[in-house]
Amino acid sequence: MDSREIKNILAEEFFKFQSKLNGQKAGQINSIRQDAFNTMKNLELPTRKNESWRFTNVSWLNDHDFLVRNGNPDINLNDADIEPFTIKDLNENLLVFVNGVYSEKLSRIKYPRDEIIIESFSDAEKRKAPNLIKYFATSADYKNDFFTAMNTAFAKDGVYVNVPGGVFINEPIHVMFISDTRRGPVLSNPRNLFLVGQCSQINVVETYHTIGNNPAFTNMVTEIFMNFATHFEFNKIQNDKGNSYYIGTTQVEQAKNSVFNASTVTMSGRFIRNNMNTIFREEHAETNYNGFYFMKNSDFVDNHTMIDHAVPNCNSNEFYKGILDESAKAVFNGKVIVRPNAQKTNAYQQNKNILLTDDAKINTKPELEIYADDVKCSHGATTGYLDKEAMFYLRSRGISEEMAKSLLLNSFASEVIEKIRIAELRDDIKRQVADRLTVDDIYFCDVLSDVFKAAKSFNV
Amino acid sequence: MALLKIENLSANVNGNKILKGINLEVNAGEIHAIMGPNGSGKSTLANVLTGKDGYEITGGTIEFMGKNLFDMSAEERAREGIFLAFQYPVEIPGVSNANFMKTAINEKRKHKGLPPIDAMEFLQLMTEKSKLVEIDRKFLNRSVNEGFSGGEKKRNEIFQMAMLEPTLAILDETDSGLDIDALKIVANGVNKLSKASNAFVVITHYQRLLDYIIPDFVHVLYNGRIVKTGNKNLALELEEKGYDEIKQIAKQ
Repeated sequence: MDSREIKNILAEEFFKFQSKLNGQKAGQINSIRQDAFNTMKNLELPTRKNESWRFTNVSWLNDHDFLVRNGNPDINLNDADIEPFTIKDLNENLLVFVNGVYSEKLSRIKYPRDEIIIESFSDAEKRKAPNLIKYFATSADYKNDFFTAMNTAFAKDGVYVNVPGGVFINEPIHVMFISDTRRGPVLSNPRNLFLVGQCSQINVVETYHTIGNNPAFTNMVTEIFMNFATHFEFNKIQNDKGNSYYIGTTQVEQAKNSVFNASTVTMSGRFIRNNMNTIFREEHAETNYNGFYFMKNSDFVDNHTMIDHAVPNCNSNEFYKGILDESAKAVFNGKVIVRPNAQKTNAYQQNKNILLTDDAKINTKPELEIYADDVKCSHGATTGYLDKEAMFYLRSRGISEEMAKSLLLNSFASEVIEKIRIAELRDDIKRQVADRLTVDDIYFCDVLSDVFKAAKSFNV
Repeated sequence: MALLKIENLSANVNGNKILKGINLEVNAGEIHAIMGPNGSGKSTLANVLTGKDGYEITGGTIEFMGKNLFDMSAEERAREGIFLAFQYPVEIPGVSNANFMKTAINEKRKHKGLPPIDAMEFLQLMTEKSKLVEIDRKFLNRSVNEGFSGGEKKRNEIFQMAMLEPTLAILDETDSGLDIDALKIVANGVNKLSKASNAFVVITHYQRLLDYIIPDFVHVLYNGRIVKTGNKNLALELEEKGYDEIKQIAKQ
């Protein structure tokens, strides 16, 4: 299958999709969909000749017949099926989407739709939510990016959150996307929109999961608009199976005094591309991206970040760490633009990697474009194997090579994982990391969890 | 049976001959000092004994409690009772001292077929042993050696030694970089741990440490060989006359 054939299939899917739209066909949202579809037709699928896809091959698109399957997709699922995907002890608002469609049956929203709006995109569209119409597709650029255009053309469901001013939403919003592939390969295009009012705070967890053994392609776009002095904790947790393909763009617009903290944790998945973009619209805003990836098999993860210092006096800090085992591959590309007037910018970026085998691979690249002169910017990347001196030191005390490796990798990971602010989520991730590292052994069962406690008390 | 028996040991590092036929026998209850100028092979001997990579054994044998040491990995040697106090202890960010020691003790217990150490028992052991080397208990929750001063690192080595109770402890220039107070604490720790069933090999450049740890034997290592063996007076002699005489003897 070549690029043209894929586009033909998408065109067929789009006409099917349009014919089912009924009442929403005439709305403003749909005119954007049609515009995005027309744009997509004229865009080429990215190849390795495209600079931002140089190390990231999407040829798997040719190998599978991904279809949009959204007629009653949650019919074969119940609470027990999604239980393994929930985060233990988390007192959350849970929004579940199956094959891209909101499942009321599986979701649990704690707030009545009143002042604080947490609902599905489709419900918001049906009731013509004014802010949905006002903000949809105004930040994520579909004019130049194939996958964003595709998502925008098919945008039908996802989460829509509109928080008024002065609200602290204590219960995290867990947005869970499930591909049920038991009837065949699944394509979904989840579309999320978050609007946060002045001085409000929200915590979000975004996950996706595949059920069944056919391939699933999740092509997600999330737009986040942060008002004056808002605080947003955004957590992307990726631990899916070897038949899952994911491309996701998170587009953040920040107003004055706002703080955006993102943690992207990638544990597994056949193909993952994370685009994380922030633009500072007003001064004195701050954005922090933390990332941790721990991949094995021949899994692939690409973290592409872009921070646009469009105004002066903003801070950005990126800290990505990765462990690559077996023949896993990763890409980190951190782009920072400091516009000519953006004086007093602080922009820091770090990417540290440990390769556990000769087949594991990392391509890491900072991309700094600095047009202002009174700025502090730094970047650094390291890639290495486990520290031999530290390994020998541990072994010289009787600790096995395997256990020494676990201790060192766990401490390497803890530095980023400790930055996750939702305690239950942090514990969950620690468990996932510890599970991957420790051999099942009563002698060492509590060692790795203790390590975190110690690391924490050390940081205080 | 000797605790440690080294016969005609030769070893290369990066193709260079460093050890050229070492003979040494250490019995339980003994303290041996190995002295010698820089580059004589002291640290190489310590590293070969503990099983560090990068050393090529070109000849000779080492037996530890009747077993061939070369058949054992570094971790097996440690579990069997060999301990090296490092000249340059390694910093390990993110791994706490407490966890490090708990893991090491449990590895040893597993090796011996004993159950994992009880949490309370472990805590008591830590408290008791930290007093021995006058380490603040706060240090035990900190990352291994991270941000420790030179003296603190060396005291931490002796603390680990106290926790693991080795049969044969090798101290590689533990006195280097120590002020007199820290030196006394370290020496005091060693003296308290010394008993009829274990032995110490103290590698040092200077006589100073031997004022506090009284050796039964002093060996002079020069150019990859033990060129002279004596009692504690040999150390004093070397301090006075330097290594020139030894170098002369070795040349002949």
